[in-house]
Amino acid sequence: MSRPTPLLAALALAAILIPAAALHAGPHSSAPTSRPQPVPQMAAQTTAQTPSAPLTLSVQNAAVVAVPPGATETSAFLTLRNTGRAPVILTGVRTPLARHAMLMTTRRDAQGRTGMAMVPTLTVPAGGILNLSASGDHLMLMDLTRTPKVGETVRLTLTTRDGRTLTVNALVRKP
Amino acid sequence: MTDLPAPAPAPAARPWYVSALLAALAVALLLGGAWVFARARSPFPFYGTAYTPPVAARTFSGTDQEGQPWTFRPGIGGRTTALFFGFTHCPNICPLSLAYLDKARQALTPEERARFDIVLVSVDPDRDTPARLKAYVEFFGQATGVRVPEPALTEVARTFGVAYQKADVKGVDSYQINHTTATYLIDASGHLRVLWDYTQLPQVDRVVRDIRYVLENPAP
Repeated sequence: MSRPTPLLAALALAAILIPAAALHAGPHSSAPTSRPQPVPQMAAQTTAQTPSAPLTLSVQNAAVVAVPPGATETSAFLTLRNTGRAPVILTGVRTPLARHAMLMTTRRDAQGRTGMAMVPTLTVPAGGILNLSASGDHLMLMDLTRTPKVGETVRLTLTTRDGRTLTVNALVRKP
Repeated sequence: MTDLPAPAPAPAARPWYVSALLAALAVALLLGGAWVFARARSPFPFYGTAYTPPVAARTFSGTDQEGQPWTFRPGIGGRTTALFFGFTHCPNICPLSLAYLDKARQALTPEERARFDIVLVSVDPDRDTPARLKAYVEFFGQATGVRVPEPALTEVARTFGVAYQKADVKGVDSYQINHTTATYLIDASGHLRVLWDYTQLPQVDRVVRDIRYVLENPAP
């Protein structure tokens, strides 16, 4: 290459921009948060106690991580879908399996350490989903009252800021 | 001013399709160059993050889950090791890492499996006794759980670039440990070749592909 012409400069720019644009387009087309997606297998049973209107939440894939005998804590994961027009704000969780159960988030600090921190609330956005998973927001169950058995279901009761509750039956399984 | 040789002697008179062809050629050259550069740095398209060049892993010693003295001698006996740091009070990241590494192990052939180890080094030597480690690693898969006492642990972690720190959750007895969440793959020549973050491990097929390549291609 002996003569850098405007054409070449434009080409170089295009070579960078085209793949970048393609990358950018990916997530938009593949993962809209509010579009209904096919519901995989076992949906957990849910019941909502209703002082006023029924909760607009549905639950998928509720699970408690199975742990070995002697373990004193575990975590629970589920996907909550909010079909309503208002966000649902979770303020707590309780379960007969643990003396303390809390809403947690996963954080990574400047040194690259990943850790869990309690949060006062988790929000299921209006018309959206809240995914509780090992790599993000989740439920932590501390001071287990017993060792959960693989395959059993454990009751989790989520409470919302407006005083309503959602009962979820979560399946105990290994990751 | 020298003119470009061959296809376009008179730029002003260049027809549009020649320009288009040159444009396509230039894009292809640029992308091809980037590809060649990436392959030259790491000839295998690793799913995890590759060490380029591979880095020699350090020897260290501790106690295994049977309470026996245990020493990590990188690559000894032609073995490849997936090693990560965790603790048994960890309720999600460590079980996930152990479980998915074990799924990868099970996806290997028996011959490959015989040359592959999974090691969990505890970052919580105060609470992780050999008995606790044994129950934990055997529940989630098949791995060696190692307790390295302080201050040796700090030094071992430093050589891997691992950071960890206690974090109180509820009271003094129920602390958690914030830690870096990579799994390191060490080849049969004792070199660090690739690392995966725990969020990558559920893609078992891609992890297996990395392990297979490293099993067959230890660093010189």
